[in-house]
Amino acid sequence: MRIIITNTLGIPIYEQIKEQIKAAILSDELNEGDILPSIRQLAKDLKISVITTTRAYTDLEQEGFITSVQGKGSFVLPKNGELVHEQLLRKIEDSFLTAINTGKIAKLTRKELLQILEFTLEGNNYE
Amino acid sequence: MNNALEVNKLCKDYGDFSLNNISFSLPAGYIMGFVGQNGSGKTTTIRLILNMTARNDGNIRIFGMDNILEEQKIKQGIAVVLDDISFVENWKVYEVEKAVKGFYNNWDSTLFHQYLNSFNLPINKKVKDLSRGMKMKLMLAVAMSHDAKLLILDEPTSGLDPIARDELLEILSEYISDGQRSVLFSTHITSDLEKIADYITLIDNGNIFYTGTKDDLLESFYVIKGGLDELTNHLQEKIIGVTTHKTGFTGLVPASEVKKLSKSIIIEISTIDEILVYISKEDKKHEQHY
Amino acid sequence: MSNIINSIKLDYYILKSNFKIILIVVFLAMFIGIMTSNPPVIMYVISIYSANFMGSIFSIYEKNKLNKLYGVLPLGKQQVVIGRYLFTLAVGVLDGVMAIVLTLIVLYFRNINISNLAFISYLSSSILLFCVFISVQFPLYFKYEHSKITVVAILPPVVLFIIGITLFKKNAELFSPIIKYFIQNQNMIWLIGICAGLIFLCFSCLLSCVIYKNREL
Repeated sequence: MRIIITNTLGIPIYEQIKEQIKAAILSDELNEGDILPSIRQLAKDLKISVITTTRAYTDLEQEGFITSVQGKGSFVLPKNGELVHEQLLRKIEDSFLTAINTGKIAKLTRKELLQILEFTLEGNNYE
Repeated sequence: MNNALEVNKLCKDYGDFSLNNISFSLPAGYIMGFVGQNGSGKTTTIRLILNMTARNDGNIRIFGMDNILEEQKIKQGIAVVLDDISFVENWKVYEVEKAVKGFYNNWDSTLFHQYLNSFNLPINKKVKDLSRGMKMKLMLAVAMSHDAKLLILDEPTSGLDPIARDELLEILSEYISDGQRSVLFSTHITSDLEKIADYITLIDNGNIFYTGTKDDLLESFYVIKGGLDELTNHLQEKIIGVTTHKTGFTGLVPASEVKKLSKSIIIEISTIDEILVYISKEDKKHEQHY
Repeated sequence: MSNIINSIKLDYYILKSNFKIILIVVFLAMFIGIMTSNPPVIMYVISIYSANFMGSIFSIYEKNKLNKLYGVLPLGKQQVVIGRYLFTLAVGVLDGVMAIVLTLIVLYFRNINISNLAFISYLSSSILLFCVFISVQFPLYFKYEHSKITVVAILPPVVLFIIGITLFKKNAELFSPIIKYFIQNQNMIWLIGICAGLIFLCFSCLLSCVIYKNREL
């Protein structure tokens, strides 16, 4: 499993950890039942605060990606189809938002923006 | 959650300097950075925690016990590393153990010698012949050899080169990795804490400016930079430690102000160092008014 | 109780490096003893130097900033005081034995004879002198930094001693019944000397406890 954090991007560290673990789960790099490094071990390895790793794991647990068992550790939960779907929908929404904001700067009309989307879908053979 | 250390409304008056209602808590199993510029009251607070000096008001609880009423019992479980060596300079390294081990019920001689080994501290060398870094490691070896649950460090890295400082942080990380031990790390070299501290208590001129998690601190204040025309009256009131030049201004603002800023102002995540610097600039401004 | 023993051990290790001074004192005492017409003066020399030697522990404490060590260790202030007095007493006894032996040696080799009375008087008064020095100096050292009052600390015992001798000489008639009593009961000289010394030490110890308790480390 690969978790690399960087101080230079302005994304909070706990977010970076969350995203990388989620990505690993979604891409099947991490599977159901796999054990994650303990909160303290991860903090020590990454040279960050225990509170940060705790927060990342707590969020992941709330979002249904992992579960923590007292005394045993944190495990990857089976990919909940609904949750994964929700995650992916959110990603699409974020990407669209970026496109919309860029469109505003480029002063495109709504029609022009939709046109670009159509062209891209066609070029990608999206069914 | 249990608190390893609780300081409540601590007051100490020295005439020209005083600690005013200092309050903060360190939950068990975490590292707290105790930061502030020189002379802000860090060492005084630590001396009060150790009951080396008498307080004027407030109370201190360590492991849930009153720090004066159960002083000796508490000190069995505390380990302290101060900024300067506190052993007789003519003692040889092995004599340090002989002098102090009788006081600790849980002294672990094997562990002590293991530390001496891994720190490369020669047993027969006199304390006065040790380098600054080695003296600090010796104090650390003593501190970590009696199963202490609270480790208090007062400016342990001053005078150390970056390599020695990094080694110290490694040792500390290892020390708290079981989640049972807590560390109070007082320093004005905040880069050490940027990485490993869980909690930060920021003291400024005898007052607590902030106490809480490090993550929250870094999300509570932001550095902003902008042109002079963007420095509104409203902003002037809220900004901390503002510096103005011909080309613009910089300063620190609470997170609540950030959304009210005009879009052209640059916002940056602050470091603990920068927060300290801006606070002290703000202090100086107030001093000039008197 | 065990912490008092630990405190004594700590004091021992603190003074350990200074023990070589004892050799110097022995030589000095022997030298004086050989030169002087009154060898039992050796006892006074050893008495004074022993008291100073025990006082030097405060000096080492100050130089090495041992307040930081004492502030951290699980060691009560009362235990420190009591331990130090006990340690000093023990060293005093050892030095007393050494003083007797050295004096006897010098007396033997120089073929001098002195009366039992004289010997016992010297011994008893040197023990008393040691106790007076410690009793006056220790509370001062527990209250103030050693380097600041080194001179001041020496004055009181010396002054007391001089006053005592002067009074004694001026009022010889008043003291003669006492002297007669002592001549008749030589063993009482021992007893009074040692008891008085111990009483001074006890009061001094109590005073030191109170002083040190309120002192900031």
